[in-house]
Amino acid sequence: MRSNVLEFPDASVAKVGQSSERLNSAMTIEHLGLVYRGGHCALADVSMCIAEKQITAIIGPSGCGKTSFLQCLNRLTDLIAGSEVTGRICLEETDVTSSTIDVTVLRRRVGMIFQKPNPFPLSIRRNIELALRETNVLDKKECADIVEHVLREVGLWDEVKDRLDGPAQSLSGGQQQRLCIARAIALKPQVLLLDEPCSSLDPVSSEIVEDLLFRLRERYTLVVVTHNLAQARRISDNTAVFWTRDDAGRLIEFGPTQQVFEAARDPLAASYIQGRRG
Amino acid sequence: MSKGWDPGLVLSWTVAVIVAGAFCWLLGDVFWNGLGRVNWQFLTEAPRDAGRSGGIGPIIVSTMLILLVCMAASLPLGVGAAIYLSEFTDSEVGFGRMIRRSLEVLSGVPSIVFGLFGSAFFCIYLGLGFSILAGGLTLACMVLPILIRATEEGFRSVPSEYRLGGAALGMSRTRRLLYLSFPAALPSVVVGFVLGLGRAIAETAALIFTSGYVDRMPSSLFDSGRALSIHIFDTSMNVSGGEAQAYGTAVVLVFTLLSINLAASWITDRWLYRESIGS
Repeated sequence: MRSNVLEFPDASVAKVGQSSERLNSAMTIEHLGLVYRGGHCALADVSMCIAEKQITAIIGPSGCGKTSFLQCLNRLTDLIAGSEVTGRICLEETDVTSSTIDVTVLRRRVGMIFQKPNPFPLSIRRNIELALRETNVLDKKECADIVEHVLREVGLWDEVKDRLDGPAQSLSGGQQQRLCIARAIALKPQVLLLDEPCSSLDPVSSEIVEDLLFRLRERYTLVVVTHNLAQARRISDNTAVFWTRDDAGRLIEFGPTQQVFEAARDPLAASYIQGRRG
Repeated sequence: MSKGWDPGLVLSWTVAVIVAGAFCWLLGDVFWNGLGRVNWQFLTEAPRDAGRSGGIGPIIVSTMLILLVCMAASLPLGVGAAIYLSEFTDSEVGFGRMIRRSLEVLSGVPSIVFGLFGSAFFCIYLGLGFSILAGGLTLACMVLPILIRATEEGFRSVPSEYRLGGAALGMSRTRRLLYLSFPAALPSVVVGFVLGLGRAIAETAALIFTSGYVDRMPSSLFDSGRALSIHIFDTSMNVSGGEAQAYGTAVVLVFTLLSINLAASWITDRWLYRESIGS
């Protein structure tokens, strides 16, 4: 079936409060497909643009390829034996899917936060230092400055400044997730991928992380997978709806969040958003 | 079901009592007959009169040297192979599966066969003769499957979130291995090491043809040296009137084995405890 390449959202329909200057795209995805070993087609023919310094929400029912989509964007799919990616993903001028690029550099530019907070079993400080070491920041003073800076950025500094050398896993779930975000932004990424960052957190922690995401939007391009439609509506600028059709995850609706939520063109997407399907 | 015997309970208790009883009997017998023999002289002096009197000093030294050679050879090889198997191959297909199958077979091979192999390969083909080196290397071959399996399990049980998290931070495979997987798998490496050590120190058949019988103090790794287990075998089977010395040696051997096991479980407990404080 022929894809309808969904156009980049027009600035004129942007929601209130959004700048009306021309939006740049941070990543462009063209005809992306992903097949796992055994022939299971996780994604087929996904094309979209991810707008720079905005939040793009990815929603859709379970198993429709949302996480797979994120993993394609920073080549974590490489870790899955037998998976095969087709199509093109561009990060500015870099072709992400090219076999010649340095994936470690790519993953520093495109960071990822997972559903379950995954701090390493090390101290809070070491968690961030370990990431920094990859960028050859070896100077102690510089390291300490960056650790403080990123922890302040995620609003964790005041909570942990007295126990930086304590185990990261003794933090609460929400704190752990913010530490993971701090660890990721210590690498100065351009894009942050977040895979249901709040779903394993309690409502209060979830709200704190959500506020954080909204603040981070000023500096980074965020792509957030979420099951929480209300959250997608609250925080995102653009929304993409994925759906399983013909045994493959596909993009069925994409546009400015307000438009998707109020006037989705695709009937499936519309009924999903209104809670009638999915 | 308030009255009467539960047959399942009776059966399991019987089995438990038999197993524990056999262990206690064995241990009791060895210590009852041998403990009186063990003193400083026994531990340091050389055996006299084909082992009927004197001590086991050189034998302890030979045993330690054999173990040293065994572990020095098997530890890097074993950990390397385990890392390769768990991190770089797919265990279900192709080469990985072949290695795994071979290991399963190898761990079931009787030790006397290892002894013959060691004798043919290390002693004769490589020209090492009856030597501590040949004995240690033969034991290394025998211990490898145990070591690899235990270590590999350890690496496999490292949560995949660490690997994914590391990868997402742009850490290369080597660095993920070094900074994330290896520290997390270290307790299993220790367990594998101790299991291997336990098997090696108790081994007799594989050493008879390789490290030999000579009970003098070894002056180098190329000397023949008699291990504790062989000394027990020899004094109890080949030397009339050597049983008492054999019991004494058995006490030393069993005591060493128990200490190694206790030390290992202490270390891993401490380790696991430290790891789990956080979570």
